[in-house]
Amino acid sequence: MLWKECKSCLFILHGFINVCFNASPPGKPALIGCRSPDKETFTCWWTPGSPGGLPTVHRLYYHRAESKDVRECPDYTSGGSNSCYFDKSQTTLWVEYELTVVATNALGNATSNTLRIDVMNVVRPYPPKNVVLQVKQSNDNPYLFIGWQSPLNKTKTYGWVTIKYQLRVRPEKSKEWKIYDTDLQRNFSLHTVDPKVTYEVEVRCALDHSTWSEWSTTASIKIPGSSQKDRLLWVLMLVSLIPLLTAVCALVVKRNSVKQCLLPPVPGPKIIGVDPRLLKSGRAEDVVSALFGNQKLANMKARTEETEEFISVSDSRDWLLPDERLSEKVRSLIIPNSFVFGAKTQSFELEKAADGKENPVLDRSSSRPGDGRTPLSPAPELQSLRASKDAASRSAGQCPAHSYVDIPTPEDCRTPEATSDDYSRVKGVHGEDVLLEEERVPPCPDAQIQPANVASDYSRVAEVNSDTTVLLQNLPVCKERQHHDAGWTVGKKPEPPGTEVSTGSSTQLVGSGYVDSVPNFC
Amino acid sequence: MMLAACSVWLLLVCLVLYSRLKVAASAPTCTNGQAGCHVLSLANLFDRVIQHSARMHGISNDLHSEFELYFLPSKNQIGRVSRNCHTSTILTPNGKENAQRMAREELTEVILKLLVAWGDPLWHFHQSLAHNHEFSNFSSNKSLEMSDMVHELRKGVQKVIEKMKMLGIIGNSLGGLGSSESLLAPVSAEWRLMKDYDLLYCFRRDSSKIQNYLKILKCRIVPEHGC
Repeated sequence: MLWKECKSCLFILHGFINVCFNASPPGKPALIGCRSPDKETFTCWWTPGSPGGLPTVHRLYYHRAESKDVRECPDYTSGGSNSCYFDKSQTTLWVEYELTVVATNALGNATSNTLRIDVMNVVRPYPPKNVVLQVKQSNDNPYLFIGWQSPLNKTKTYGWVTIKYQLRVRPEKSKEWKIYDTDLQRNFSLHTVDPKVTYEVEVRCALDHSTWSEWSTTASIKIPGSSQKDRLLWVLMLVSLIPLLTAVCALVVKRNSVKQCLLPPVPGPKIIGVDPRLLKSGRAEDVVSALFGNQKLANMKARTEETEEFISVSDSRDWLLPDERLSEKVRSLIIPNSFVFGAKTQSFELEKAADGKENPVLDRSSSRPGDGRTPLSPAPELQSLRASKDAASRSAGQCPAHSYVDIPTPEDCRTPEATSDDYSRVKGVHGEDVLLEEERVPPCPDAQIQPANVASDYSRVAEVNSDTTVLLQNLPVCKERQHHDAGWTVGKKPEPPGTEVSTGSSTQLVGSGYVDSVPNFC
Repeated sequence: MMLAACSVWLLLVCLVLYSRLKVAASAPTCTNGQAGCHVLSLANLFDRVIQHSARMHGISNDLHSEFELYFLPSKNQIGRVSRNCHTSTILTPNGKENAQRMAREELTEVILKLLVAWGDPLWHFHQSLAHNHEFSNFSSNKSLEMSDMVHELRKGVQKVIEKMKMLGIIGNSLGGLGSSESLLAPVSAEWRLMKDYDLLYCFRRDSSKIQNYLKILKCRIVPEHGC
């Protein structure tokens, strides 16, 4: 009696002490769940409640649904802390277990919730082991070979366990997995892989209709090397380079023609009447002729229509000059009918104009009075009209005549480009007549007086019939005739130019000669 | 001349075809003496039966999960008495070793008993689902499928038994094949008292048993690399 009282007193005291020292009965533990990885064993886990400050012991008690036989957990260690492991002999399938955990410490105990499980319903295998990745080649195409091992020990299952697998793959930087089912196979070949890409692989498994296991640890591998595409690209590049190189070589070899084709020579600016060749030659006279000739041409431009009537015929090389000059030359070469007669007048005029001062240069075509144009000096046929009585009386000197009617003076002689065929010398002025001399033609040495080596379009004046008629002689080329009685051309006293001009343009000439019709210069 | 040649050719063709047909047709009819022929066919039968049972178990699993969503019963009810499935009286091995230790005939008989026991209950279950408008057509269709499967599986297992008896693998100790009523009699009334949800729970368990037992049986009788 006393002992019992003492006991209770002690107990109360103990309790008070515990309370003073913050000790309490244990908190209620909670059963989390159970798991069977192989349909033959299973493990259950719980979480302890608040410890209560004192050492606490947990115990698991269970009983099968049909029997009332309560048993304690056979193994607290194999499954880890706060676990209970049931081995084969303890495991019964298709039977419900009722489990409870009791936490006990010095102050008391606490019982957890009761967990009812059927082992077949908590089957969940562990993930597959040793996932192996290999890159293999098949017809120059790489593929990924994935292998793994079953999570179960390699004991014969006798058909009790059928394990099926599932794997998922993704490229390293992608976020989406691609899932493949492999059923019972423990390997898989993935052919849809790209080179130079790292792939991640995970595998999981399930037993028949059980829950899927967790995903295995991630295995990754990089597919090496260049793909078929890269190699093809290089080959294509090299192949395309060959024609390119060939084209470059061809261009280099034929660069001149290419340059001509791409950059055709731009024709230089052409100034009418100016021969750039003369400018280039650098000689003073050439430059002057080049520049000044231009002026004359400019003035003559307006009269191109008039001059078109002229038919230019010549056997000299001067015809090669540009057209404007040509027309000028033509005009100069043509023997206007009136000119012959006007020459005398001009000569006299000249004489009057320049007392003692020879005006050597006179524009031939100035039968139009008032034209004070400068002559085309480079054309020797535009040679000055020398007017002097003395010159007229002088015999044809060594200088051949250049213009229509030329009374040459020695010092004024210029080397004509044209032959002397175009000109006839004035032998003398006889009263009202101008005596023209037959030209000495070089190819005809035997005749003193030889017909001018005229072109076929010129003819000599044979006879003057009346005031208005001039008879021309059909003068053959010297080569044709050895001699001829050229006779004298008798010039008539010229009428004022106005009247002459009118007839000058006539072609009423008789004779076989050909005379250019000279248009009105006025 | 041509006609004769054609007719001869036609005859030859016919002969060849006929002989081929004969060969093809003769393949399934194995005589008792040809051991290789029989073993192959038995294995094939077993495979088909196992596949069937696996599918059946899958459907029962799905239906059970659906019912759980509907009713949300607390799994861990303490006050709950363990479900009294009408097939509880049938003694079934509850583990791998137990199943392996059991004789072939016993195991086969257990399978057959289970299948027989579930034929009627599942049909009535389907009927109750179909009439009850609470449940979707999907569930109703599944229950019908399940019911059909049980019947088909039973026929298949019976064929396997016949084969095995023919091969002399099992003796004739098995009860009469047609006497399903004798098997069913002790448990006939109980299933009517079961609620739908409990019925599904029980069937899920039994279909799992059937599948596992068949697999064990196959590995024992027709060993393969998977066993």
